[in-house]
Amino acid sequence: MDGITPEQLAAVQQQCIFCQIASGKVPAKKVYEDKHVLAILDINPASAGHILLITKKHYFVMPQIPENEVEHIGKIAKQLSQILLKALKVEGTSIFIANGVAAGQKAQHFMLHIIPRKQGDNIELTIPQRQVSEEDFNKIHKALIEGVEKHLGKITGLEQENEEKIEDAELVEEKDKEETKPKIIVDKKKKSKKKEKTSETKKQTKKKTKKTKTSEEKETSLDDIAKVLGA
Amino acid sequence: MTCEICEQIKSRRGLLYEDENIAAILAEKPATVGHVYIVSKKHHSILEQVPDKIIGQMFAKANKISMACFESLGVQGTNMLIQNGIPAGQHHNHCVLHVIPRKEGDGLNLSWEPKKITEDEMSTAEIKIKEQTGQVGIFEKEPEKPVKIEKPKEIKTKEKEEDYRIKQIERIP
Repeated sequence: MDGITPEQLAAVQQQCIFCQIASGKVPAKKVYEDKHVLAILDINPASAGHILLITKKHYFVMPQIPENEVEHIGKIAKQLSQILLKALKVEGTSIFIANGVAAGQKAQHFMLHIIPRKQGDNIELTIPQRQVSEEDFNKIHKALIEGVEKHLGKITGLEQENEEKIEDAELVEEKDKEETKPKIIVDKKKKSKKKEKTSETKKQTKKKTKKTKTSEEKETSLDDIAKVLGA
Repeated sequence: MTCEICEQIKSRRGLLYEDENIAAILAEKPATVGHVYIVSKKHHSILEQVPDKIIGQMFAKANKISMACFESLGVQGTNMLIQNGIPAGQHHNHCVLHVIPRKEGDGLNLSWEPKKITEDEMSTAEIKIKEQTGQVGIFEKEPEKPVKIEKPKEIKTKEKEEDYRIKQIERIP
């Protein structure tokens, strides 16, 4: 936890019921425990056997947890899910994490829910599937990939393959102008190239006005995307 | 039967991240703006089939992508969800870890009403689960990769070739 003194952390831990469960000060129905995590039965379960997998250290949200611990949590969650299927003879499980109040997080301590599921159990964990236009799909992808690259690096091998695809597409375009799909790829690539150029060099040519237009077109706020999706 | 997820990985449509084992793709039919699927590249229908190591990596990548959602999409929260089995609402014939960006008032309701169960039912569940948890924390070992051994024959011919060249050079006055 960044920017918090040990005293403050101790105060948080004293108030946090899950920290007290982890340290054994408050009793709970423990089903599994190791160095990093503790699995207990939820006292307000969605169904019988609903497990809460909590970290022993106090983390408020998942982004604060070190990568090796996140991996460990994932592996343990899978194994506990398998056990629920076997032990309680249920037909499925839901593994659920809420990060932030907007996502439905209620406690001040990170937790992962493993919920035994049966047909018609009325647990509202269905993910709606909404339609999204091709244009919005590409806009969202463009907005998100920058952030993903920052955390996970560029996709290896993708650019090279894309380059090849584009070369192919250009050939197709010359040969057969009725082909629509590759054309779109070509247009996009050209546009993005133009956009890059505008930021780099500003020559007083006819092309310049064209370039700035494309870059303006590309800038769409997330609110616009949200509106279109009706979210 | 074709798998939509495998097809999407193949086509690289909406691809956000990829490594040897895992891919992150933008959902074709999103629940909210920026809904991402974290999947194993190898086809596994259900969670139980996905190797432990890959599940761990999927969660680690999901966490990073969730961070990217906070920063790039300006969302206030994220949900992560694995729907394991049809009763749990699994849509695809491929195990998916969903990362769903959330905003206040986005109309999505992923919650449940607490179920009233008796103390007896609780204890029974506890005992049944505890009976099985002995093996938790012991993870599958990765199968060892076969080591490629160079054929000695090839080396010999190479040496011979080199020898031949050297001899040729030596012959030049």
